[in-house]
Amino acid sequence: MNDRGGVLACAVLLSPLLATGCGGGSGHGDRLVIASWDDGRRDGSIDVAAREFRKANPGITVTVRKTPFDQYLQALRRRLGSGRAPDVAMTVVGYGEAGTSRALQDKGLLRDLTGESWSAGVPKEYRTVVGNGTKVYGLPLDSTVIGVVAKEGTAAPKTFSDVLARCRAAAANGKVAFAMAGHEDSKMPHLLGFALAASTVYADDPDYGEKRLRDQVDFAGSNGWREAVRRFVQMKNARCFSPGAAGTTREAAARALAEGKAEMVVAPSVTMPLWQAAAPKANLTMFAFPGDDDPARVRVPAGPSSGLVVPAKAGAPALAQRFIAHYAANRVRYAALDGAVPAIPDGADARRVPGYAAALQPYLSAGKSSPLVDQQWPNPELITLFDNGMVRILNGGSAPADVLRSLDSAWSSKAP
Amino acid sequence: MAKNPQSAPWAFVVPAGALTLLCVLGPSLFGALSAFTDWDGLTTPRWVGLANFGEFFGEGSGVVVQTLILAALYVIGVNAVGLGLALGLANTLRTRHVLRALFLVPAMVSPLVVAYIWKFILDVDGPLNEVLGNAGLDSLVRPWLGQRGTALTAIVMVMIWQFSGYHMLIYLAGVQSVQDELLEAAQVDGAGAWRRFRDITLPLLRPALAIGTALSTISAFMLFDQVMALTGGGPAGGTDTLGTYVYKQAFVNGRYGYGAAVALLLVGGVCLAALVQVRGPRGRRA
Amino acid sequence: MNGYGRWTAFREVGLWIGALPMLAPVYLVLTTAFRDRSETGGSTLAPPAAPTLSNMRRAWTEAGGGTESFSQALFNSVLTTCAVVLLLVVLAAPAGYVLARRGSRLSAVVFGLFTLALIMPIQIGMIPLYAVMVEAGLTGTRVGLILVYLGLEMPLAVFLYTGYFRGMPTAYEEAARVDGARPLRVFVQIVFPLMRPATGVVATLTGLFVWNDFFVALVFTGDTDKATLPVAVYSFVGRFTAEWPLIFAAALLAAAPVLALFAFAQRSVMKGFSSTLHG
Repeated sequence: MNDRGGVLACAVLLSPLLATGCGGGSGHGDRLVIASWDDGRRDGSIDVAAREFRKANPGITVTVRKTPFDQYLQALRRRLGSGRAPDVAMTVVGYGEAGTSRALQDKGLLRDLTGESWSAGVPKEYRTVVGNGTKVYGLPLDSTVIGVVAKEGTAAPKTFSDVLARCRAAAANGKVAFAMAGHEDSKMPHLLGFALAASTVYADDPDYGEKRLRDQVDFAGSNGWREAVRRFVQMKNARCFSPGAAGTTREAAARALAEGKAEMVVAPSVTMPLWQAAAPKANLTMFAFPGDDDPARVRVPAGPSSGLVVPAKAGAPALAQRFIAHYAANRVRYAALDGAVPAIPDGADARRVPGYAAALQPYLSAGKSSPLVDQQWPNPELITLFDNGMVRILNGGSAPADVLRSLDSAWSSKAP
Repeated sequence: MAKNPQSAPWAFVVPAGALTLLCVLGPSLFGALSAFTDWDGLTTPRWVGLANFGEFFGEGSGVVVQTLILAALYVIGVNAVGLGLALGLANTLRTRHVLRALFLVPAMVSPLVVAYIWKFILDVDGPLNEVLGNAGLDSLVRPWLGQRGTALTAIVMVMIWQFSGYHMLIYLAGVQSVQDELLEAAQVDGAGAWRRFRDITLPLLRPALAIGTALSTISAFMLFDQVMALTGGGPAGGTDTLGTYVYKQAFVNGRYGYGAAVALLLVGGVCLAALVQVRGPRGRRA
Repeated sequence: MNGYGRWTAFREVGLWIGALPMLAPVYLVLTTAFRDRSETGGSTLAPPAAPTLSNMRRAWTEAGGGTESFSQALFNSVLTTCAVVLLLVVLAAPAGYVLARRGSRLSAVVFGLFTLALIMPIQIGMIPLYAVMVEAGLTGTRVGLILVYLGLEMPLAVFLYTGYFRGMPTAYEEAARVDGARPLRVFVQIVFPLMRPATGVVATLTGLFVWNDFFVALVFTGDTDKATLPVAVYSFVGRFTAEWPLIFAAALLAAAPVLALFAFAQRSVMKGFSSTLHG
């Protein structure tokens, strides 16, 4: 064999030795590795929490490793499955995508955190989102509600008929009532669908989600779902959305709201940074989306949005659990850093929504809320199909029954 | 091509071969095997035979059609534009070197960034619509990326924009090597410009055409970066290609086995297209 | 026909007009990258009222999401790209030489395997490859990333070298062999200096791919400080926002070295392309 081959052979033999020295594994002993997505801020709640934990525990190295958000969930799933797991990982809770907490939990990739001090404080309705009802697998960090985002001073429609009337009035004035980001990456159309379904499906039957998971009901046969999608068609026909909605990106929708071309947008409170970024000088508020004409039936979708989990293959699980307990103890302050409210309330009268969304608090206090629908959808494909269905309706090509049928045919009560 | 085994020992091939085996062929084989399972990338796979292929034949016809449309438009477009640029910039123009460099710049930038640039331009409130509005062409203002027809066209245009300079290079040498004497003799004989092109230049460009079409076909079938960044495969899956479909199924939905099955079909498609291209012209010109 | 007539001038102007669509997006990238954040909501076409370097500065300091800095990503990109290109040339050229010089059935089969590897979509082998790399402890390391890129680009490099060597006359090699030189010597002293155009093409194509690649770098080094520039640029595409000025500023910074090199080496790159693809 020639010289070059020899050199390569040496390189191949040496590299694992070099690599183990350079460290690719998770923390052992005094190292804590936290994985989080990148939200463009160096001083988000997770960074501050890591810093304070480090200060309170000298001798422990705490590293926060960030990945671009778009790719984060897939990367997390890969790492958890391959043994390159971090000790603590931020993730989206519930079902809905392949790397969300319940999907990972179902595959046995997460540690059971039921014994932790904070787990008793997890609100009852969140227990199936961060666990399976009895066991808890993650600390829910912030809560989000789906409502209407608008500039302060915008009159809030009170009933669904009001909504349609507003749409027609706005269209007559050359504007649109609702900004809609229908571009495939924006992942927004289904949120309006959920807001509508909250006041139909869940007003009829608050336990619909669990029944669906047990395959006791389906979408096409549900009066509530049919009505919800029908109402979306009504909104489209009342010219609530701009003609180009199917191709509008999130940023374009935010600009439309900022420039006054659109009056409102249906979005979760956790997306407020997006709307605010396009309108830095405006005051934005949120109010409830009236999905029905009967105010008693209006429900607000609410739930935890992100959470911290401990992978089963974590190298430093005890340390990880201590970090999570530390976060839980300071959760009010940390959530405020992100402009949010902690998912585990800090007392019986605690605010369940951020300041700008105060109009939604009465709904939550009165229990008039629905779960975040996709947190109970194990098959990630459903969100895509639902978005697609709504976009097709926007482009005039689909009937409500088709959309619901496509959801049923892709339904699975287990994550793939 | 002389056969001289002594100065070309197989040992020279070993390192390259080993790396290729380790990083491409080996894993791809493993991946290909998983096409017959329901592997999710994490837990133990379960054999499902041809179920994945069956599922795709039911669901995926739209994706195949979209891929073929994009491929056909792109292969024809980029090679036509590239050839045109090569012919135009072969010689005599004073600023030809600057122009050639200009046309090549887009190929130097990451495909992801190129696609984001165009996503920004084609946005509903973006520069393109703004220009059209300002020029009084309001009727042309539309959501370019929101309708399937215009979105597909936009994707092809962006790819041609990015790579036509590269194809220009492929044809440049060929065009330059067509001897001027041949062309002048033909001109003296009374052959018009088109005739000269068709009967002298074009046949001499056959090797370049072969490379150009082969490379563009492979890129078109695997098309991924531009589609993901421009439309995400939308609206409503209307611009999904085999490449994006595989990615979404395997990586986003966690259905690795199913994604691998579609990827195998993709490889098959590329091989088929390559065969057609190699056999086709030879058959015709025989 | 060889003179610079009126028709030719017409053609030249025409091509410059044709070049406008090439330049227009560049113009937009530049104006957006230098646009101050307070100008959001205005026309996207007009040049920025108060051009600012703040986006560039933020891109430089904030890219990489707290895991690494832009300068670190730049360093990683330079190191990885140079290492990959160097090793590719060193390993692929001899392989291409052998496949070109040997006309046996085995040689055809091996060449066929390299071609097959060339058309393999990357997604199909990605997860198994990742699993292997994890086992070897090579994920999150530069060595691992370099190895993966080497493997991924090897088929293309071998393909190009084989094509080039097939067209290269064997006279010099035969003369050297007659003189009794050993294969290695023949290769290093005779073949190597003659393959420069091909090396130019291989280096350009593979170097560009490695420099601009996002997916592989993300999978193997995504959340470490060994990640390359595209991962850093992408970190600005956040969960809910995509700040175009920042993204474009970062993209400009990331593309600057390539464009500079291109401006520098333009003619030789183009000449190399021509002779390799037609050799």
